Amino acid sequence: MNLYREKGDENVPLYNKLKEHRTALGMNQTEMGKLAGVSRQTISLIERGDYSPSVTLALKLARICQVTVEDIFVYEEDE
Amino acid sequence: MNTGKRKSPSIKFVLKMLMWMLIGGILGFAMSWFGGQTDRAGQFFAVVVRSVQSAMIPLVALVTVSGILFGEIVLKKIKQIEEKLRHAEDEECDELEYQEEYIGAWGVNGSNFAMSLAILITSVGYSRTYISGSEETAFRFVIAIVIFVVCFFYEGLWQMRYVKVIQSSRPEFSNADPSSVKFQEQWMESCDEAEKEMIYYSSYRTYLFLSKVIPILLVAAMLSNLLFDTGMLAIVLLAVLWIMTSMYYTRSCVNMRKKRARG
Repeated sequence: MNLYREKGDENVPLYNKLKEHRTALGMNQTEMGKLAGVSRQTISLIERGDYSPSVTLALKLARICQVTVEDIFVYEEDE
Repeated sequence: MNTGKRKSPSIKFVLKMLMWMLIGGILGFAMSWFGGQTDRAGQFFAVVVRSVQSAMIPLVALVTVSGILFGEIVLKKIKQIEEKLRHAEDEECDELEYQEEYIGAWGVNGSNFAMSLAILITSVGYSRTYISGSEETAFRFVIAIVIFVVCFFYEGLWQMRYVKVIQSSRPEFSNADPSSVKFQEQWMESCDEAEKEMIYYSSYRTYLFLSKVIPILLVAAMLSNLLFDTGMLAIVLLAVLWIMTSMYYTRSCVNMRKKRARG
């Protein structure tokens, strides 16, 4: 019953650099999850690209990392 | 741009209906043959019912003991995983949490399966004809019911213990009281957005599954009544369940739309 892994939508060209920003801050997923008000699992899902966060959560994560949302999340559409 | 000719939805619908009619015809032909065998089938089921009635106590005891053993093994494994999770790194946590969810799902399904099986076995003796048959059958039935209650009591407690183990590592869920009737709502309130999405997704998949399975069971109940005179109750219950499932789903959609429209 691994719904997390099934959910990954490879057609959505959304990439993220959350892991890089998190490790630069010296935080683990649990600590970042606590600051953002979500579980460690949710941070892990976002980092793996298996879950696209809401605008609110994306803004919260950007604020924690002290960068803009676009610095973490990249939308690359093929022409 | 897709230039290929596509069949219109109404043609597709007619073709599908024709296919189902063909399947119905084949099924009807098979049933007309099987109809001649109903006496034998009836005798066979009567033998099955009598066998289960005579072995009701050992069978329900077996289900209870197996349920207890399975439940304890699952809980022990989950506790071991929880212990590992306390000291695990992020990457290891993903794998361990998957294992925990997988084993937990087996545990919950095993628990529900044990309860369903216990109901099924005791239901065979749950008839006035059987209970009033003799003092011995009445006594046997009482013993089976006592074991059945033990089974239900244990499985209910097991599910609460399972929740408590999860809550020990996820304190954000500690507001959810497993003994409360509002437990599911309380649990949902403690979930974050990704967890809620997973619950919505699983619920919709369950709804789709039920929308397919209930009509099939309804047809099976109708055929069973036709061939074995099993009565209308199963048909009525399944029809009510079908209507209720569909109505509850559409009602939820309309309510949500109304809520959003109001802002």
